[in-house]
Amino acid sequence: MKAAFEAIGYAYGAVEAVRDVSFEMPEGRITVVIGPSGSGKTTLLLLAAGLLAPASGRVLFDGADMAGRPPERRDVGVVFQSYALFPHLTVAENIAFGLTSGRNRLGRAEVARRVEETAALVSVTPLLPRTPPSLSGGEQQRVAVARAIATRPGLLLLDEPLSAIDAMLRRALREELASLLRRIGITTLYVTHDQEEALFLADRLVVLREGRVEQEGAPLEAYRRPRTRFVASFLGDANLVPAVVEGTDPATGRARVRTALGTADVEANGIAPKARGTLVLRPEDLEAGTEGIPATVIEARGLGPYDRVTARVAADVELTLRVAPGASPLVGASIRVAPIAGRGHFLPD
Amino acid sequence: MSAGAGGLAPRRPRAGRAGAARIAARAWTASLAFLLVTPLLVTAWGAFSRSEWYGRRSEGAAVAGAGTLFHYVWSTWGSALLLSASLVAVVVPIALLIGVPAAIAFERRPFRGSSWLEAATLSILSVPGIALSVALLFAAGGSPRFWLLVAGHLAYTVPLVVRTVRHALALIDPRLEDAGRTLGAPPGRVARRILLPMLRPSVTLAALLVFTVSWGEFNASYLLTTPLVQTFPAALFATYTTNSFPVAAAATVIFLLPVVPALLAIQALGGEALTRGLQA
Repeated sequence: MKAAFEAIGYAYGAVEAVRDVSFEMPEGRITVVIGPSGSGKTTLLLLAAGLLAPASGRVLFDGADMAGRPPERRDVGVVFQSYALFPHLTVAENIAFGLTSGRNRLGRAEVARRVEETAALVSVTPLLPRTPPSLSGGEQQRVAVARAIATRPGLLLLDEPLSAIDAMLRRALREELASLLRRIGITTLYVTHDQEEALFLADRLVVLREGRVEQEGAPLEAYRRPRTRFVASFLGDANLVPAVVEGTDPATGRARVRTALGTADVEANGIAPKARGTLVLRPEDLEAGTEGIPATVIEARGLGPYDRVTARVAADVELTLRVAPGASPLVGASIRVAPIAGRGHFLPD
Repeated sequence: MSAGAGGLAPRRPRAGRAGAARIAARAWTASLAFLLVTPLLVTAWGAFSRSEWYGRRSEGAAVAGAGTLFHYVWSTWGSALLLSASLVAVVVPIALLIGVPAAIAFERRPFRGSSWLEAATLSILSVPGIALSVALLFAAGGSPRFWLLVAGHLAYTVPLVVRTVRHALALIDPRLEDAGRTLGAPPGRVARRILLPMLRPSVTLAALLVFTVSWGEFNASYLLTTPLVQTFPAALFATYTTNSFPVAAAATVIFLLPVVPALLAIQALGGEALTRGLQA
């Protein structure tokens, strides 16, 4: 099934949670909606599930308007942030719930078979006789996924399913979840505020800010070519440097922009000559060396695979850059920082 | 030696004060327990005593020996006992049928004015039985009758159900109901398969509360019955004012028989009913 939001809006009383949001969830793909808390992510998910009714716009499943159709008659499975497992039922009964009530009701033998099969898929078979309160967070998360996919819904909705899990386990579960979703090829809407998780899982990424779509497209596109300063700084670290376009070269599709750090060569992409704007430089787009702008190191941290150095260029201008592990200069040292040739992304004002 | 004595000296009065306080607290607790238990013991003793000492011409002649005592009470007040039993049998299910859905509505689907309605329901608890009875008699017209009595008891018991169940419901994550809906269960089925099983301890608690209140209710019952058709607590009042002590005691023991297990069950259930929803 493919799904879409069409100019959808929703308000909690006077507070507008979602405004004029449109995007598609392609068949069999994972669409990740990312945004800070309060950006309307969960509201979108509840609108898709039918647990909220839109104030304006439409929710489309395979082109059909879902207006007025209650959650029990929509072809969705939901994994809630709190998992919402039924504490008075066993894990097996939780997974069977959707197969024994309403739209997907199956025969007794078929239910047992489907519960077994789904439990095996999500590796919770040994947990089947237990009850949710006796499970760990990671186990509950898996059971919640099993319960949601047992009915083989057309659209799977996941609301920050890993946010309650500690960091170590979260990474493992993230990979497990990604491989599961790819294997069963289910159309998925995944809501998160974690950019690493978003970039890892997404086939399509939608960046939400204050209830509006800020950018939408392939996941790395938003990281490499952010369309706004918000997207640039929300997805990963970004140095935002004021810049002026010096000239464009239609033949190569490149533009030269001048900044306090020196000149950079960036993609032209319809930039007007002489335009003013911002040069977005990721920490990995900068290098410390013999050329560039003089700076004073104010912080250096070894983060394992690389070191992160923050250096002050002027009273209120700081740059963050990435250096090889163990190669950090000392705090207080004078260094020179320059953009790596060809890196950076220009954002016109 | 002297240092040791000096070290002990200031401690002794402190220990003494603490000891005295403890003894005073225990004495207080013991006297409270004595005050609470003694009437029950005296009543039980009276009910099972032999009562020939009342003399041949008194009521004692008919009630000599505990067995005959209870037989006498039954033959005199059996109809009152039956009325109370049938009243409770009607009031408990009706109070639950009204109170549980009302609690769900107040907690999950509040509507304009629902908090006023809930406050109004609760405020009935503070209306004196006599006022309520007179109001019911005026409203319904005519003389006391069974369904008027049921209405009076419901006025006092439905608020208990609403309060108990609503409190338990507030501890249940509403997302559980959402999850049920998205899994294909319509609202009625969600209530049957998710809410009611999770609310069972609190509904049981509410039923026991309704039972004890309805079984023991006197004020409204006294005014909504006639001297010939009485509930058991109204009959108890009559035994206290007209019968001998052993007869009144035996009647009281019969009255307490179903109440004590109910109270013990309430005590045992109270904790579980209120924390059940937190497990999720």
